Amino acid sequence: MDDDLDELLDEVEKKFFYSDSTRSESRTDSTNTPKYPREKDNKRSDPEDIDALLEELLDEDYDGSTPVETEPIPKGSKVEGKSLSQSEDKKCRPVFLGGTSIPNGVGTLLSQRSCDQLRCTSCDFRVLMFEDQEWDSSCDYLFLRYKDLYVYQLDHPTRVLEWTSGKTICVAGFGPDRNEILELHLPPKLFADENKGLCAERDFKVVHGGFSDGPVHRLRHIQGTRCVVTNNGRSSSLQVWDVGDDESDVFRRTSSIEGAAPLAGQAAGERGSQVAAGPSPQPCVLHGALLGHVQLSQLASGDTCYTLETDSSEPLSALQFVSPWVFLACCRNGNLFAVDTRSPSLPPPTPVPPPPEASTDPVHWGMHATAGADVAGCRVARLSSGAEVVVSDLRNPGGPARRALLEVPADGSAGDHLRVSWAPALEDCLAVSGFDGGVQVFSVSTWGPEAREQRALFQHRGHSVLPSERSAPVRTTAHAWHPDRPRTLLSAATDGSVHVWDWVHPGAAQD
Amino acid sequence: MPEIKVTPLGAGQDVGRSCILVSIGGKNIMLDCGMHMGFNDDRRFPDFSYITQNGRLTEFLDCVIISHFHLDHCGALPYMSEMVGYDGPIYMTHPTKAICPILLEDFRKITVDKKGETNFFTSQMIKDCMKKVVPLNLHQTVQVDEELEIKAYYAGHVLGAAMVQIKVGSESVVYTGDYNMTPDRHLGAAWIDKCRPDLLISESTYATTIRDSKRCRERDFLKKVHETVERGGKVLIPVFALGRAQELCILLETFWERMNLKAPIYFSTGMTEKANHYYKLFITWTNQKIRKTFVQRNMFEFKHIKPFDRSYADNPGPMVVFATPGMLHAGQSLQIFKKWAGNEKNMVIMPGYCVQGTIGHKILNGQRKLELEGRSTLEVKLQVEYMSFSAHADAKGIMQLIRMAEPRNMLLVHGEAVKMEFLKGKIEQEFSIDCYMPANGETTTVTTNPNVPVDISLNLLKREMSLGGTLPDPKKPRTMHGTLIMKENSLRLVSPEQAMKELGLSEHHLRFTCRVQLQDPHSDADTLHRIYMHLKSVLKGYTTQHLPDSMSVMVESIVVKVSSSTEDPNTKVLLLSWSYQDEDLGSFLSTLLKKGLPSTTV
Repeated sequence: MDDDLDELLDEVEKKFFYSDSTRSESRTDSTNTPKYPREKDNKRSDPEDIDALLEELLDEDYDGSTPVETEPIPKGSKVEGKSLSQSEDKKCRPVFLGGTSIPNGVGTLLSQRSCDQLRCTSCDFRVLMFEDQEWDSSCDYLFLRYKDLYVYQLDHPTRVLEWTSGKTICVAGFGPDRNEILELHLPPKLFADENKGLCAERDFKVVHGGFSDGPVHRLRHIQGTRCVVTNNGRSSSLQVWDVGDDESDVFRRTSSIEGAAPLAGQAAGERGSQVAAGPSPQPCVLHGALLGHVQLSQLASGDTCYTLETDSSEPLSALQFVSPWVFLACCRNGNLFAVDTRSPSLPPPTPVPPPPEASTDPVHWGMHATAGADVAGCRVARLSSGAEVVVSDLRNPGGPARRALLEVPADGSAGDHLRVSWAPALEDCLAVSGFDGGVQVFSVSTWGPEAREQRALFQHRGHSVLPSERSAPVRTTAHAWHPDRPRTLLSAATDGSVHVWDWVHPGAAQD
Repeated sequence: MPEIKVTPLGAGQDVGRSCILVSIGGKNIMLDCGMHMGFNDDRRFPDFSYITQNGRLTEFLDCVIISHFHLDHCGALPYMSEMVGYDGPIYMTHPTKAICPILLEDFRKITVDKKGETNFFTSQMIKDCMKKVVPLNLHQTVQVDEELEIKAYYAGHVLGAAMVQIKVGSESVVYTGDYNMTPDRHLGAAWIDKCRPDLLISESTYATTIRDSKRCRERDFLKKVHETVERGGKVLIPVFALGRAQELCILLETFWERMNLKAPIYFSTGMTEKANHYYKLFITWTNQKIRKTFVQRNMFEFKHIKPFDRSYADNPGPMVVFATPGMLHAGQSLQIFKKWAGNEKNMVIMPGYCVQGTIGHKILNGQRKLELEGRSTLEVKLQVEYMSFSAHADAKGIMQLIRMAEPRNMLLVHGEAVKMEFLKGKIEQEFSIDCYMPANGETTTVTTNPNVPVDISLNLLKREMSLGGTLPDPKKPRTMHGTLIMKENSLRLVSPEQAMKELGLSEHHLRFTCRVQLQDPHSDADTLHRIYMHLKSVLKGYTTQHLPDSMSVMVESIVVKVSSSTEDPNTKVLLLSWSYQDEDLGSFLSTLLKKGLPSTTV
């Protein structure tokens, strides 16, 4: 039974800050020496026992009854060679973790200094060191990362996470044939700010559900209605669904909206239409697979009330309204158009500034704009499959943009799972997902006009370290920020897992 | 058509007082006999008058089956058997039989001795009721009477919880009780073979829920307990009878062991202790891991968890206490709660569901001032936590069980959500079976299509073989003729000759005759010939014979005889006669001849 508990603790810990190799070691370690406190003296300088040290440290998170020895935590962390070598010119060689008496700096064989550039191999966070400080016994390491974390397993993976209200989201499968569309109520415990303990439920509730005949690749909730619009990723037509009310728990398909027919020689159906919810008060939806096909359709009648007048057959990667009349259309090649629906002509595009170095891989781009009161203050982030981000200002679209190369494993296989989104309630933050099994949060405030490598402010890795039966690596398929809780996100992955997490800014004081 | 009828008297679109009536193959079975914890009036027990208005329970019911020992599944048992009156057999598993009376007695004490209620069952009634219990073993087929048999399967959930298969002839129903499709620390997962019942009656408590991972919940629990103990507070964990208590005990015990914690952990009263004793006794009902390690170390012999004494509640310093009952409605847990409620350092962790009207329910709803009996108020300052650990199947688990058992129909009970159309649709679509959700008192009728085995005599088969030629294809239905003899509950298909011989009957022939008058001014022989020619031209492919000697025509076995009327020689009288087998052809001929003969002859 000890094993069981070990497993539990290890799993949670492993999930968030261990790599697999570390885990296997720590497992054997904990079974051999099951009890804390263990001998501490013989492993200070032995790099082999770093894992054990780390493990021990984590044990202490729980065990408050034994006072933690005066030892600054960073000494216990591990060295990450790769990330250091990418951004720093100088490297420690060999790497010393050091003790409390050894000065920090770049270590060499001659001058032994403990490395001051330590990074975590799992989360890639920098290791911070605080002289003459110790952990308080009540400190739980996990709580430095998450205020809340809920882990769910859906029957089928989803690539849509769309809010239908402040507490409900829609998910839908994207399997080839039959799929479920579900409206889920988030765990009430997440929203119980006053007294969390009183709140019973930490489960998702299925409020409404229905069946779709095809895959659901895009899903948009139409503000102010109980309708969602979906697209199957293959054709240009949209399906309109009535989510249902309190009377029934069934999602019903009410109608469909036909998109523009593909012109000769155009493979419009290949990726399906992009969809954006039209502005209130008239429920309408903006959609199209190609730039030349963009049209605004009335939800009720299916009538087209606006079409973009261009014969461009550039495939679209995103559509978004930024004001009642202006929408943004982003093409897969990165070109961005800010279109005013009051004038039918196509404005000149805002192309992506040329990449810093010519890349041979074909890249494609995605886009997300901040929702602002006015168009001018709106900022647009464009993300490429090569992990480059360009942030531009709509006030001056051609002007200098902030750019960054994200430190994510961009192997060019990101495909259609790529997502970028601005935090709605947090300044200068955006989240990206789809490159691997993680969701990364970046702060753009420090980015300059030159594309430099930028590290994530926070990285959620829960999906990729979950035990999965499938051999294929897990990739995140979607993420969504909560509309008004600043650091609450949802993320979904190819293994069907959905996580709800409220992260803690590593640098900022807890609020 | 044969039918299975299901009427929930409780737990129809509702949680609490589970009681479901099933009529199958002429047998009436009551599944569970629970009480509702939230009510003190008539609504507490199932409405047995549904049955008793037509006579006594014993006459109506063939047997009662209890799935597990939770009071919402067995709490009304003494009331039903001793106060309403039932003398038939009551089936439950060995652990349930052992633990059930303890819980009933405990509940009786609280209700009668503490609350002073009258009109409740007595200790003697519980004892008398338990005398009617017949114990069940897992996977053992028990013959209730000649036709009705029942079989128990492992259900997880709590110690001794079982799913039951009820079988009459080839019709069968499976009732799940409460079950759990994922193994936990001390119990295994529910399992059933591919028994293809006509109807699967499943609980649906968590049918619309997608659960947070168990590990996240357990970690939260340990953290909460640890934090409180750490700051010197006391932790009260009111547990519902037993069941979940053991799960939490194992979790805490391991945690204490590993973390080398010193704060004491107690069980309240002898009851949980006694229950633990039963866990040790029924170790075969626990999960594989506990059974395996049992020889070295019994997981239920806790090192850190000791029995509680009333005086300990006032001891200074941190402690953790497991106390019953789980909803804080009475008993020791309520006493301790009253003592500790005033200190904000303390904590109460509610590990299960609380029924409306209980103190547990009130504090979970954020009530900070409680009115106690005797008009005193209690201010709740301690921290209140709710952790749901109850082991029920969620939608995924229900689907899993359907896949396991492959039922032909599905019926959901024991769920709070009335709106489960989506789940219903999901089940109906995925498995192409009907799904029902009756409310209390509402009868669902399921039509079954049972196979009826019939013995066929060898002679008849041989004859059929010689006629048919090709060997029969097992996948294709084939018609054959014979006589069905139903004798002494057996069905046999034999040849008519054999049947007559066996039953001592003489053979009778049934013939139809009919007279048709025709105006035909010819001689009888000519008319006969004309008829022959006419029939031959109309009935091609039939053997038509002309027999002038007997003045008749034969079509197959039908005889047409011609004679002249005595009064008028031009009026011919045709006499038709055919056997029952040729009814179709015979009536066709008579109709044909009534129309007369064609005027021209070839």
